[in-house]
Amino acid sequence: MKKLISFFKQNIYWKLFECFFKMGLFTIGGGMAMIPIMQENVCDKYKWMTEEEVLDCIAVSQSLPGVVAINMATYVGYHKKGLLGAVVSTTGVVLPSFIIIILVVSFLRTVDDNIYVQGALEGIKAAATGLIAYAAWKMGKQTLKNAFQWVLAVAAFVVIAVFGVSAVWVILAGIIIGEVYFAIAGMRGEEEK
Amino acid sequence: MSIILRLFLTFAKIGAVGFGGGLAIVPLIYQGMLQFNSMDPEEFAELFAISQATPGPLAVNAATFSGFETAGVLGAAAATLGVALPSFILVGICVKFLNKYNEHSLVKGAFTGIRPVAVGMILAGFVMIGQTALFSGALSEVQSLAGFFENIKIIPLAMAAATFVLAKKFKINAITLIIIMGVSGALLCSV
Repeated sequence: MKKLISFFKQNIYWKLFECFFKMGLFTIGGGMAMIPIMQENVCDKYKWMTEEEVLDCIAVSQSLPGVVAINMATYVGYHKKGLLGAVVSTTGVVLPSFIIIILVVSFLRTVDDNIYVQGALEGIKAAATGLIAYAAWKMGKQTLKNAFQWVLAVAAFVVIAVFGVSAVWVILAGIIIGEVYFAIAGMRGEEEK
Repeated sequence: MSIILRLFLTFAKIGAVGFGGGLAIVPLIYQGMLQFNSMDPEEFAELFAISQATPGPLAVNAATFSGFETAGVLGAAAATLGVALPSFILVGICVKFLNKYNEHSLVKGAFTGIRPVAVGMILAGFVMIGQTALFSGALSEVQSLAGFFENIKIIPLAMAAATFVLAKKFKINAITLIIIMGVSGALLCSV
């Protein structure tokens, strides 16, 4: 029994499954709402990825077609443990939906007319708001190190939040700006040498 | 063609062309489901409400729901696997490529731009989620500053602020905070 428990505690595939199962179970809405739990587990707890790598994962997941949450799970799984890791993570993130939806559709048919359920949802959405604000603050503090990065982050925020431009276009623009900046910074570095 | 295979292919197509997450993918699911005649618009409205109010990604919930309504548990499995498959292939190729060429200057350059943009995107996600969580009615319809303050829902706002502080100062983990605020919401927001 002890062996079995320590197997589950040590096994990387089990950890990936557990981490993404929790993400599926405790986020309502998906995608963006998952970022705080992902950051907490993937960077802080298990150290599978750095903050920068998680940002790469978020950007790639937003710019590819498909469900963002599935893209993120697949990305982390592949990055950490290849194809099998991806299968395990993705299964983890969709399984709570699968079980809960089938139960709700079979037995309840409705969830939203009870005032306590409504209240709980209000509370969960409020928590999600606070958590994503904290995630943005934390990731920003750890990854924005110079004026270029700050300006780009603020510009991306304004363009998406105020003008409603699709994240895909903003990421593409970010890639182009990044290439130019990197090339110029590289040339300057050469000159200084 | 069996209905299970048709469900799988319909959802694989949705997974391959649906950009921009849940709210963008649900209309595609609606279109894709018309051919099956298994759900009327009223049921689809129900699907949307339930998918939004239950845990898990909206699009995955909606896919599972549609598959289950059409062909039971096997149908649900076919729809969910279908919607996940394109992600699997595309993300897999992407990660392989990025890991192989992560020292290449073009990849490095791309990421110098992508990372700050991703931070801005998360902050935009905060505005998007906050809009529905902390305001009654749509923010875009608010005309004046007074209207802005009138529409704020005080208790959820206090809960969001408390969540931020508890996470930052006391390092309480996200899941614990979600449970605490869910219970508080059931008690405080239900009156």
